[in-house]
Amino acid sequence: MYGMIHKSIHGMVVEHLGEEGWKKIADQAEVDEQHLLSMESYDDHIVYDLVEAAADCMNLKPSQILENFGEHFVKKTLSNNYQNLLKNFGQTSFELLDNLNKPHASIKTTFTGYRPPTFTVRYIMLDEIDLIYESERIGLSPFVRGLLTGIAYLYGESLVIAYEEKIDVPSGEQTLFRVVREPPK
Amino acid sequence: MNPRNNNKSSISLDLCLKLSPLVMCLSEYGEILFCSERLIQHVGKDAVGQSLFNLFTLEGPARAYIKNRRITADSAGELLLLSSQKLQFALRGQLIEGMYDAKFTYILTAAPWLNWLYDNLGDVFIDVKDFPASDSQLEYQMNLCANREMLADLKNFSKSLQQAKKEAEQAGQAKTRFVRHISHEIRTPLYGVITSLKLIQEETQDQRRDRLFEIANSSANALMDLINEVLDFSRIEDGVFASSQETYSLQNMVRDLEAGLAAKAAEKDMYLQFDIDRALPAQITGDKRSLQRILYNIVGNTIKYSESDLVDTRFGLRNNGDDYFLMVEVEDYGIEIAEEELVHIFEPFWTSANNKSNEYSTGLGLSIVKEIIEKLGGEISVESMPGQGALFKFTMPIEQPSSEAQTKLTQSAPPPTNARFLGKVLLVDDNAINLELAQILLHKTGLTISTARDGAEAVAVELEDDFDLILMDIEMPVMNGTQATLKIRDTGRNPDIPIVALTANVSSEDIAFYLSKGMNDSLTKPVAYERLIDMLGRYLPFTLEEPTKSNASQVHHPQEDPMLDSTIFDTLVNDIGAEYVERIIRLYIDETGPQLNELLAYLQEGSSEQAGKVAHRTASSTLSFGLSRLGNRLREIEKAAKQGQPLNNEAVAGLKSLFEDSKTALERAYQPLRSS
Repeated sequence: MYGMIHKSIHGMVVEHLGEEGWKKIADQAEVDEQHLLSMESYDDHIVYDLVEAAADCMNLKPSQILENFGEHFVKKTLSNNYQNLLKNFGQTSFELLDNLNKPHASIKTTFTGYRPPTFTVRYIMLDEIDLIYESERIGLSPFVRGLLTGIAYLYGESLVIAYEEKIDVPSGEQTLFRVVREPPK
Repeated sequence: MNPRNNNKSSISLDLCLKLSPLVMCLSEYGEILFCSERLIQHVGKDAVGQSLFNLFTLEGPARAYIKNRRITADSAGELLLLSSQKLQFALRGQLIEGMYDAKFTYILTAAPWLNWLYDNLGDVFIDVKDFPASDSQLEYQMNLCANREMLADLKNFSKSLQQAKKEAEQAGQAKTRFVRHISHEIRTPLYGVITSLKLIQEETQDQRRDRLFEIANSSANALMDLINEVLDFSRIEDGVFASSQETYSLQNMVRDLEAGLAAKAAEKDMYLQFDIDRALPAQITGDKRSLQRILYNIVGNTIKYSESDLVDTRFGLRNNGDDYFLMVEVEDYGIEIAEEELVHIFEPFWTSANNKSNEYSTGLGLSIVKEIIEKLGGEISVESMPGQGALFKFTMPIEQPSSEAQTKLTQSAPPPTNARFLGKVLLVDDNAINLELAQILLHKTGLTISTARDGAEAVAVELEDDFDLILMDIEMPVMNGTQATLKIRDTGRNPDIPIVALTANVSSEDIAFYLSKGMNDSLTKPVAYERLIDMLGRYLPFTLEEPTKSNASQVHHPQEDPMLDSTIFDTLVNDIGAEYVERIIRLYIDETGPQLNELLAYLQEGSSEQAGKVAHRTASSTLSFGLSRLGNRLREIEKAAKQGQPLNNEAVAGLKSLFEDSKTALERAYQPLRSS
């Protein structure tokens, strides 16, 4: 995974626990990269180790950490660095989800080692979709849940995951999220 | 030019619509014939029928701006950049020849011009659905964002590195201050230890205790040196270094240096040689204290670590425009410094792996030297060749010498034998023959001479007159040469007057001892004219006399005489001149006969000390004539008497006959001179 993911985790941890907390978590995860670079590729295990260490420190489940991280990733990392572009990919959260493969493809043209997930949107109704997440990495579906929360916040919408279903696949991970957009209260 | 009437080369509008969401058909005159649905969302339905040139500004390329607002086939394939402030929209795309409504037309397949939109409209929504899949603008924007992020990362990285550097420097400074403070604190009680040891030592007479006190003193002094080095280093590290300028005599400074290091050099049987280039003025203005520190360190280190028997220190002058530098080279001829060590030699805390000295070193000395030199604006380097020892070179800025200061008092090469010196010399010797010989030689050099027969007389004469140099015998009755030197220095009347020891004792220990008593130099007896000239050249100004035809006497010895070293005799004759030879031989014979009687009398009554003194006095003049056998016999007696050893009866008994044979040898050697 690219350093922007690690940096985002760092940002989330610092936001909640401060630099001291990050040091503790990084020490526990035996991560010695003090100065992560966004566009540098790092081993996946670093992210998994950091999530486990953070869960341990914050007394949460790793899946909860991943979910929090997904939300943080959209609200902070993407919003700060890719704000202009992000909006081009949709005027609504569903449009954005429908177009998510496009920015991934664009990134892939430059960072050829990039292994992004793919997202498929199937409209059930105008305000209800099935979002199918596919990744060759395992265990990151909770991260998508967090992404959905972040995206809803970004567009000022209210998204509810009606249900979530793991799809059996020979390798990697595939999850279906039934997402309902609720009218503003 | 009309669109080419060629179906095969034309592309259908349907195909274009599949490839690109934003499509427009144009007539040859720029009339908009058709707009795709997604394009209409940006330009409005009314655009159809209008002129492209009215609706948009064609921003590039310039040559696509068709003359008379007509599109030509040449425009096909170009990247068109179109903008419209009115529509708040911009397009980038390509014109191709195609078919619309069964007519030839120009089809523009386009995408939103992202950069124009960002630059002119700011935070605007641009739907990715407007972009053909092949358009690379989004990738470009992605890359821009990624690059911005990387740049921000690197800036943060650099900032954190700078912060870390600053913190490390602050920590280093704090450490330096701590070391300085602690060293300072250690020094104060150590002074107390050293002083107390000295006082206790003065009050005790026990030999073993004296030795222990000596060890304690020496250790305490070594510790003090180390602490002073650490203090110096921490001061320099902390930027506490002040240069002070003063005008001083390099000659005197070197003399003090030599005196200060003589004992150390003597311990290792090492000879210290100092040469001052004649181009250097007598007085120079610069940082004397720093120069002393540097020289003590480099020369001292060389004495400590080198296996050489000679340390050569040379001083020269270099000027670079208006900048003047004192150039100093310190060279030894021992083993080399390894190449891998040369690169580290000026680093703090570095010590050689090949250090054979037993003394502990902080490894700070040369680093302090380098810091001082560089702070003063000079440079230092070291080089070493296998088997050739090491050569340290450094420069130190000095002020431009004034014309008055250019009087050359010193010589790096010996003055020629036709040098005529200016000045007044006090010659001190208790031996009439040596006194006479030295007077004759000094007279040849053009100097004014006064004489004294012992140390006490020398002190009295020196008080009455202004001398430029004193030649002082060491062993004399009443007051010896070193005592007289101390007295003369104590009077403070002429504190810098050079005092040169006249002595046959020339071991390193002896010379170190004389220097430690305030003498500046030594001249070996018997005195040879060239060595005398060389020595005088180090202290006195001179002029050169027109070379005269040599009046050196050619002495022919019909056969070698075992009593006489003909080389020494010939040198003596050449040095003093044939006209003085007879007088001096007579004087020798007249003086030596009674002296030998005196010696034998002392020996008979068992007065070894007195006998030793007479033997010393007589041997000195005897050897001046090359009378080696008699001279060496007298030396043996002198040595035995001084060491309290029993005297060989044969050695004593044969003295008279040796003297008789020596007189005959002298007469025989002098005979050819008399007849010529």
